[in-house]
Amino acid sequence: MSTQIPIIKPDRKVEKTSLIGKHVLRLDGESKVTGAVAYTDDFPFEGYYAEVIRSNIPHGEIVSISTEAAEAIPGVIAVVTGEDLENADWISPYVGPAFRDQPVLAIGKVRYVGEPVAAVVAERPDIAALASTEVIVECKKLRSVTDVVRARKKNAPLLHESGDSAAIFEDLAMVHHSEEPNVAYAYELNVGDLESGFEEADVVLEKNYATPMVQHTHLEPFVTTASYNATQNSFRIVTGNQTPHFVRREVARIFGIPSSKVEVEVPQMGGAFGSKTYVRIEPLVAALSRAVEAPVKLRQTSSESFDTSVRDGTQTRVKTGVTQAGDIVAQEVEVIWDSGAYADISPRKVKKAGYTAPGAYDIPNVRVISKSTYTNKPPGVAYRGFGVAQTAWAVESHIDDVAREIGMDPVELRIRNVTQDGGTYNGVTIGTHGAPQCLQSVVDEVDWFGAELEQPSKSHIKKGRGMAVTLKTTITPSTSEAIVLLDADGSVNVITGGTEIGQGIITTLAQITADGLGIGIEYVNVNTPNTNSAPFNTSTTSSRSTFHLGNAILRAIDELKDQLVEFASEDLNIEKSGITVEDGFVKTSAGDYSIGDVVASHFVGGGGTLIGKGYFSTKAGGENRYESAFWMTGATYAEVSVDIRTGKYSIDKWVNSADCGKAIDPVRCEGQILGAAVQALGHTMSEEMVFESGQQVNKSLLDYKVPAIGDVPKESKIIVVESGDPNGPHGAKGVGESNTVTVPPAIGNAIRDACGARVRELPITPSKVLQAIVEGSE
Amino acid sequence: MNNYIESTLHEIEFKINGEEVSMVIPANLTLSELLRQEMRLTGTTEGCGVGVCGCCTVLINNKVVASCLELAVNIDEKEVLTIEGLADTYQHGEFHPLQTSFREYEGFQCGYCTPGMLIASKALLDQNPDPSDDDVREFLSENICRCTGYDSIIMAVKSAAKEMKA
Repeated sequence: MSTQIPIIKPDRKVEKTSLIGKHVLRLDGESKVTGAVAYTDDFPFEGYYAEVIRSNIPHGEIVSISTEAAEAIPGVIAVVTGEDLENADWISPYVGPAFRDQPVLAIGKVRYVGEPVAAVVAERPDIAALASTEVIVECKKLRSVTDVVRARKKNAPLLHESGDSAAIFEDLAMVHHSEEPNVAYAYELNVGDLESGFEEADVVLEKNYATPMVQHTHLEPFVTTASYNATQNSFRIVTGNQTPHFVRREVARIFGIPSSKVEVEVPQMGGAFGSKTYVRIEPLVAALSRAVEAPVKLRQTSSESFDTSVRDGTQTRVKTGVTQAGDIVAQEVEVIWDSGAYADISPRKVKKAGYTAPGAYDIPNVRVISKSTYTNKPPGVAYRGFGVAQTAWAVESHIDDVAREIGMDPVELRIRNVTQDGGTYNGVTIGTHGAPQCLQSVVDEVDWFGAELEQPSKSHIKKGRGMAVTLKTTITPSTSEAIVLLDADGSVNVITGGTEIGQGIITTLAQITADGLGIGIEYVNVNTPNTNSAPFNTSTTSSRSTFHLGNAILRAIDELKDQLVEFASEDLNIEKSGITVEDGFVKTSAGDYSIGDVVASHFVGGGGTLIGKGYFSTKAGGENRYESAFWMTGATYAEVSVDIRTGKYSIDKWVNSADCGKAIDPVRCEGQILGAAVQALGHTMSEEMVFESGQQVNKSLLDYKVPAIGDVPKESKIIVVESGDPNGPHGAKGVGESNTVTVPPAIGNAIRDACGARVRELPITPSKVLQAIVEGSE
Repeated sequence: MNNYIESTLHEIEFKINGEEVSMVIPANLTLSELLRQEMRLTGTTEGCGVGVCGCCTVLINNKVVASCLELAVNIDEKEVLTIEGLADTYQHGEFHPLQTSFREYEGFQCGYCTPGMLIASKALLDQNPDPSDDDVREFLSENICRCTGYDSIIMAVKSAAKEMKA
């Protein structure tokens, strides 16, 4: 055998330089700048088209749905209602990752304006749209609740009668509806002794803060195609979704079929930001396809995204006790989440964001109360920052006011109380996280303690500066698996369940793979997932992909290398101990052989595929004792000018830092940091879903203002902190969310510093600033 | 060709990405529908559908247009440029300098806004070969990007301008 291994061709170039920490061109870049990239809507499709009929009242009993007029239109194939699904013997029509509280189409009741009530399936999209206007839904109105205070009152109308855990995720096994009206899940955290903590304090301050519902505004709206195969009783689903394996599991469950009969393919996505998680329109489209036994496509409009998934609004009360010396000795945070009509993943959000509600600070006595509340509004789902953006708006605004109460610089107070790297948090020791480094890097960059802002000559313009810092968990426990296929020509295919939502995971994983095998990145192909071949991946959320998929890939590469050593040992009759795999070669005492040639020689028949697999799971602690697989940290500095005659303000300069552990590609990390910051700029300045009588009145990008290019501060600095995560691949961890959290309070604090106006409700509109100025704030 | 509901048919002749085309289309067909569904030019994406996000931007006779709002019959006897034709407008036609610089600076993430962003940037550079940061901000003010935070786009446009002057 040994002589069959050919000597490597001398012209083969091997990339010797490490690809880690270097900017490489994104592998999907060419397709994206030429328009060749295919999103779900771009694939050729033959089948029927769906249009959704939605509730136009916030709460009601469905009396009747008349479909005859719609069905009579030529080209209409079917009109499907919730009642049809309830009566069908082939579907169990309720879904949800925490509770199974959400019907695929409304059954018996409607619970929010915009809820899907029925769907038309037709030969063409325009026919479906026309026919949808002919479906008449008659409802008996019920009393509705659209705010979290009224929703929890004793005689409030209940949205749901009962709720048991869907029992899918270990960390949500214990969730249950609260005794309190409309509270989907209540989380409580107690650390130390809160009352004696407050007694110890010299100053105790208590204030309320709020954030509105906002929407992710991914530019690619929800698009899904589903093809039911009646012969096989199987489905093929193509969809923009961050959790293909969850879609597979949930679709299989509702139809009572094995998950292997549900193929979920996820092409490139046009943005997601948490919106395209768990299941959105996939169960509906699958049900429609099952009903008509033909492929069905649903492409929602961007306005319908507001009906499908939003970020929970919050009302937060923060009470902080501090000593005159600046030690935060006690803090109580009560955050009430406006989670809308269905819980979706809100119970986890309530727990995770509840756990870090005390901010990035090591406080000995803490009490957190965090309640997910049902209201007659669109469902709150995951959104970049996963609730911490809302809690940090409260706590990071509050910390500034606490500092003022004791006459201390707010950044000095932060530095004094921030949890140390590897220090304690909520009474337990947590791993390295980088929060102090993130804060310090910004302090140094702007010379916070040395520099003083020069006030403009115009007396009505006031300049101010503000800071905020964050500490956030990642989803834990979770699992990522990877398969790395090494072909006989030395090139590799990487197969995972990780989805490309724009973050660049394809390229980042290719860098890790190429570096691990010591081959050029041009030899690596990273696939977008298809659940028929891709091994399990919990989700592409929580900035977890580089860390979890990267680790899984490194394990898969180790397995590849072990096998290569074994093959070479066997085929060359050499002891394994003398063989190494590096730089794309199997190096032996008998010479160096390219990894592809070792594969080619070992297998026969014109080729061979060597399979390396890697499993990576992270485990959590008990209910209140979270370990996080890694911690996300970051800080923002903002400098503003406020016109005190109008309340109008501009952000003159900002600095954003985030700890990425180790930058696999620094340019891509910068893109994540600024992208997160600018999204939060929208949440700060303009974004708000405005409701009147339970109906959103700005359900369009015409009226819902997201940041445009001219809204971004012109003077900007991004700091990529590299604290080195001990468990990350090459020390890397997630970096996509920190600055979504820190931007709003940094700007709010800067406005407070400039003119004394403390705005406690997002977004910070000029009228709120002016009102705060007029009222003398506080 | 789809037979769109209650719509008269019109024959139009136009040039798209340098090619002359003649088609019979219904009067209510939008330009983005014509491009994406009838011509399978799916590089042009559709975002908001109400003409404010800029994803579906194309050039008609070198003017920036939101193709989701434009009726396709209006391109009769006109010239349309979409992302698929961008590279051909520059020298050897492999990549337009904007395409190269957007890759280098990562002036895109998810890529959904990118075709519209590139087409609008091309229109800018046609008018103003040496734009300042503020010129870029002004011209691209109707193209939304939800991913990048925009700074990399400004750098990419300016880098391409420099490349084209060299």
